[in-house]
Amino acid sequence: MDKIVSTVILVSFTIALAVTLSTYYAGFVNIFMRYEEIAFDYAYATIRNGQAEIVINFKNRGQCALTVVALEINGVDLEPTGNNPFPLELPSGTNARLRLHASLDTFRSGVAYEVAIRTASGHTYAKAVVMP
Amino acid sequence: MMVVKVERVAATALFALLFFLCLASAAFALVGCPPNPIERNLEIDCTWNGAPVRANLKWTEPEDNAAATTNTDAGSKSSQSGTASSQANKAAINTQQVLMLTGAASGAALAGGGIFAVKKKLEGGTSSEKETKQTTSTSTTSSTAPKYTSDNARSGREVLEQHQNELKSSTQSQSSTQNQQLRQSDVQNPPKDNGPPTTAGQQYMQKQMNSQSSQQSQPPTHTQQSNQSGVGNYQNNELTSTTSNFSASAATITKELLMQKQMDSLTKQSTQAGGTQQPKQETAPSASTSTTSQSIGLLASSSSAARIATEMWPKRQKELEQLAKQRSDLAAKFSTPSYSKGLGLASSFTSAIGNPWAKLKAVGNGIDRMGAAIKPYTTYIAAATCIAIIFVSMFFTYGATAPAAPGIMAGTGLSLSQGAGIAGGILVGGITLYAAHNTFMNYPKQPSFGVEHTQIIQQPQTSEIKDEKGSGTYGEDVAQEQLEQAEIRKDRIYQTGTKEHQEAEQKLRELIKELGGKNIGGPKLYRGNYLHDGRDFERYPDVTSDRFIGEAKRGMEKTNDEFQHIWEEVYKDISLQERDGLQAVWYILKKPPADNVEWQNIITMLMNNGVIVRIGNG
Repeated sequence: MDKIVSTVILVSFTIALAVTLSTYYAGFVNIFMRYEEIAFDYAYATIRNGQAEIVINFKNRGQCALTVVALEINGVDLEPTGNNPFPLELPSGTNARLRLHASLDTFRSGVAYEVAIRTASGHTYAKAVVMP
Repeated sequence: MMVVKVERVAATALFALLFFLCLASAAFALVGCPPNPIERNLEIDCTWNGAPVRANLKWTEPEDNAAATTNTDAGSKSSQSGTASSQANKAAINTQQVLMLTGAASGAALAGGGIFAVKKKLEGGTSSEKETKQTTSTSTTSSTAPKYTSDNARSGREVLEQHQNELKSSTQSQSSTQNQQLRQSDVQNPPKDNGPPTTAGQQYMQKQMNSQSSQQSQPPTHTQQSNQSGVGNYQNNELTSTTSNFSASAATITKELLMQKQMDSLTKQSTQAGGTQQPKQETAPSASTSTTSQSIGLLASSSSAARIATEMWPKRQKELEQLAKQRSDLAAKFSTPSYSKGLGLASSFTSAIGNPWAKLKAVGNGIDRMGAAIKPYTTYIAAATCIAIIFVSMFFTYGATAPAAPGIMAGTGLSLSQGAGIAGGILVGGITLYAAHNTFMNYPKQPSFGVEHTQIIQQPQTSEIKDEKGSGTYGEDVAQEQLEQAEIRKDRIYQTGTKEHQEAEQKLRELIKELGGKNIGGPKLYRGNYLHDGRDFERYPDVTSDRFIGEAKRGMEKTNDEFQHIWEEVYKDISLQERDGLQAVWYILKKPPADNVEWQNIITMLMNNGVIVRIGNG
């Protein structure tokens, strides 16, 4: 009976210790070994109410939060006129939808526009749409 | 019994509950509870190539990140963006904290359970076992011996102190020459700087002195009733209850020893009456002193007894002189410390005043005593250290990951936590493996070749001789080596493989089973400390169980080497019984011869210290 109790105690202690240590060190590994990834679900361009609209749906599939520092269209930054919301953090697993509204003079029909999201890590994630 | 059962069940249930909660919470933490999504909508008015563009970003994020509005990033240029790179890992850190807390709580709960179990084990089992132990002790010792109704009522230390007192008295009663010789070889009362006896010669002298003093002073073991009735209640206690056929021979022994005792007493009385030297009165329990006094009184009134005493005393004195000379010779023979390999130290402890070796031994003995004092608390200290390491590690980790922690502190904390974690892992892992080793592996520690075959290594070793290899052909000629070892084994005093010893072991197993022992097994290593000097020793009892250590003897040992070995086992078993809560049981297959006083002294010593002794009929 004593051996059974000792066995249970030792095995339990070993399991708990293994869980603790693995979690402990896995946490540190995760902190320093994170990666960044954006997946575009869909993107399209349309004309609604006499205005051009570009819609991009994407998801932060990385292991860490995504910090957006700027938006670009065809390599040109969108410059905020009011308060600058950037850098903007999107937590891991976040589903986001970006809408861009402009006049038909700005986004012309038949022209391809490449919308890019630039992050704090220096990566640029781009998606191209063609204005109908 | 009922209370004990309830206590055990409650402890087991509590332990199981804690363990389940910890693992369940860990599982929940690993899976992760889905947070309520929070929708955010951000309108940004901006320009692109001078043309106005309105951007709308809409996203959903976990609740934990909703409050992440503090910007502590040194590189951030905006105070209202609501995000920061230092906050980027908050979710991961929170999860990690939960898991770490869960793991720490689980570890603490398990450590608590382990401490409880080990504590119970160290205390010699549960209360029920103690009750059984007490009952067994009472049934075996209290039937006819009210003095020692409790098996540990009289500690081994007290007995040894009594032996010291008896030794002093016996020494004082001898001539001045003998007295000087005895002082030189007195290992029971060494000089302060000498330290306890460690050499084989000193131990042998100690044993001889004990046997001598036992011969001279056996008041607790002899009663008038035994002499008058002839039943021979040797020791007047459990011997009668444990063996009946030993009574006849014990009666003879009793008479003989009582005669010696009475002769000594009468001689002292006559000496006191003459106004000469007054020997120191022997220390003896009061209960037996009265009976002994009655015996003395009866015999003192007998002129024939007085005449016999007067005639026998010179012979007795001559024997004592021979014994003193023998001890002196042995002291000279074994004066070299047993383990002074390579040091070439041949100094005796008797001349150790101002001796660096003696001072070193004194320091070593102090360390041994401290270690012996700490030893019972080793489990608690180890468990407390593990828990402290875990919590300190968590403290530094949280400090390092706190949002407002300065960079240097964070780095220091991370480093320290890493170090503490590694150290804790190694420590806990080592303790776990050590516990597993001691718990499951009953393989006894194998003595080295030299220790096994020679016991005492007296040869000062040089740098060229670093290990004992028998004839020097060890490992070179296997056949020759086996022949040599067979030759050596032929003279071994440990005849554990003989048919008689195996029979005694079988009877011992049955006895332990009868006494309620569980998990009865073979030899197992026990480490302990001698009561009288605190030295460490190792003991391999023939039969072991949950709380019993059993020694099987053939009962036909005669030589000094054999008795020296048996006395060592006696001291070890008494020490283990006294300090580790074990119950020693000795089974002697054949009743020792009536004229074998050494065996009677051994049996007396065992029974005086609560050891259960049973003697078979061979």
